[in-house]
Amino acid sequence: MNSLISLAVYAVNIVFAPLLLIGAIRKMKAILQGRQGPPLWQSFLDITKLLHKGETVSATAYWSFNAAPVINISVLTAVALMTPWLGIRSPIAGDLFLFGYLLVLAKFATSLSALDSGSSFGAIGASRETAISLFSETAMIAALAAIALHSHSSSFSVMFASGHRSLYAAALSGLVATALWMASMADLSRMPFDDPTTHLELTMIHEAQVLENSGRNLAIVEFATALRTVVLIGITARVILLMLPPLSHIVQYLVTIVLLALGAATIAVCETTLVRLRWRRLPNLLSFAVSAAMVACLVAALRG
Amino acid sequence: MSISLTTEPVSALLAILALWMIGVTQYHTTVVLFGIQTTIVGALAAWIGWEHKEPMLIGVGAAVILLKGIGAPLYLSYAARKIGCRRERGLAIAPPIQLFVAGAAIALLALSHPFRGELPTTAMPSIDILFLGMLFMVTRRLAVSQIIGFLVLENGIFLFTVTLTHPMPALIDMGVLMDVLAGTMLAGMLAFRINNAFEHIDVAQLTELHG
Repeated sequence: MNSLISLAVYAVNIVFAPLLLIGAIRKMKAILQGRQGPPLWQSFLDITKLLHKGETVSATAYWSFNAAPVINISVLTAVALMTPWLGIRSPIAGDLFLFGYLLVLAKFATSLSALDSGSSFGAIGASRETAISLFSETAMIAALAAIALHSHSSSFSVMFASGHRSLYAAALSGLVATALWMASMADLSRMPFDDPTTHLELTMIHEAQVLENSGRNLAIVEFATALRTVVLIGITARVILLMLPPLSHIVQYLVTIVLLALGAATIAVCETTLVRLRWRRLPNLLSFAVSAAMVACLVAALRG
Repeated sequence: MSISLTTEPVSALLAILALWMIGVTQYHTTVVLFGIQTTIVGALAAWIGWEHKEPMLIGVGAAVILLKGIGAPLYLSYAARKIGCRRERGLAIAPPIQLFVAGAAIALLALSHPFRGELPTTAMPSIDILFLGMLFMVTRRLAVSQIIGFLVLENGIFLFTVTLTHPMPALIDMGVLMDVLAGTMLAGMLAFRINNAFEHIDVAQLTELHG
C-alpha cells in the first residue's frame, strides 16, 4: 500500500475519529439511560468553545504546567502515526517499546503538571493514576510482547503483518485482546476502574489531574485523551483482526471502524450497567489482565 | 492411541479457566466457572472416545457432563444459598498474589518441562489444573469453596487419565467419578452440619470452642 495514501487516511482519522468516538460513547450512553443526549459532533463544538475561552493559571504553576498539554498532544500524535490502530499499515514504522515509552511520557507530563498546579486534588489524582499504571502498563506491554514473541520482532509492521493461521495463534490473540482491553480501560480511567464523568473530589482519578486546566489547555487535554482512547481501542481491534484470515486493506479498515464502534458501545454499556469498583479492589481486577498477558507470553514462548 | 491436534489447545484452555477461578472471590462465579470447566472436560472425553471408537469413554464423558458438570454445581449453589454465603471472607493469600504465584509456577513447570518424552504434552495442563485446584483448596476459608477446589483437582486427574497415551479402563474412571460425587454430597452435608453447629462455615474459626 502506498505510504502517501496511508498518511492521508491516518491524518484524516486523527483529526475526526477521536472526537467522533467520544461523541458516540456519549450518545449511546444517553440512549441507554433513556435520554436524548447531545448530537454526535457535540465534542467538536465543545473544543471550539474552549479554544475561544480565556485561561486561569495557578500562581504557583511553573512552565511545566503549560508544557504538559503540548507534550501530551505531540507525543500522542506521534504514537497515533506509528501505531496501526486503523487496521492498515501505519505511515511511520513503529516499535512496541517506543509505543510503551511514549505513552508513559505523556502520562508523566500530565502527572507532573497536576503536581505543579499546587492543588491537593491534582496530587491525589497523580498518585492514584501512577499506582494504577503500575499494573495497566505491565499488562499492556506484556500483552503486546506476546505477539512480538510470536512474530519474532518488536516492530509493529512485522507483528501485525499478516493473520496467523494456527489455533494457538487465535487463542493467543484472544488472550492478548482481553488483557489489552482491561489495561486500556484502566489506562483511560473508564468504568469499572474510574468514572470519567464524576467530579466528586474523593473518587476521581484522571479528572483530578486535569482539574486545574482551563480554556485552550483544557481543549488540548481533552483532545489528547480522546486520541489516546481511539488509539488504544484501535490497537485492541488490530489484535482481534489477527484472528481473522488476511483481508484486503479496505476491508481491514472497514472492519476496524466497526470494531471501534463496537468498543464504544461496550464502553457505553459498561458505564450504564456497572458500578465503579472500590479503589482497594482495582489491583484484584487488574491482576487478571497481567496474568492473562503473562499466560499469552508463555503460550507464545512455548508454541511460537 | 495418539494425541490429536485439538486436545492440546483444549487442555490449555481448561488450565486457563482454572487460573481464572483462582482470582475470583464471588462464590456464584466460581461455581459457574467450575461447571463450564467440567463440561468441557466431559465433552473432551466424549470426543476422544468418539475419535477412537470407544463407546465406554463416550459414556463416561456424558456422565461427567451430567453429574459433575451440571449436577454438582446445582447442588453446591443450592447448599451455598441455604447456608447464605455469597463471597469469600478473606483469603489466606490475596487474589492478585495468588494469580501471580500460580502463573509463575505454571510458567516454571512449562519451561523446565520435567517429563519430556515420558508423558504427552497434554500432561502439563493436567498437572497445572491439579496444582491450581490444590492452591484453591488451601487458600479458601469457606467449606463450600474447598469442595470446589477438590473437584477442580479431580478434573485435573481425570484430564490426565483421559488424555494419556494408554488410557485407564473406563470402569476405573467411572468408579472414581462416583466416589468423587459421593464425596461432594458428604462434604455438602458436612458443610450444612458445620453451619448448624457453628452458625458459619469459616474453617479458620473451627478451632474455637463452643459452649
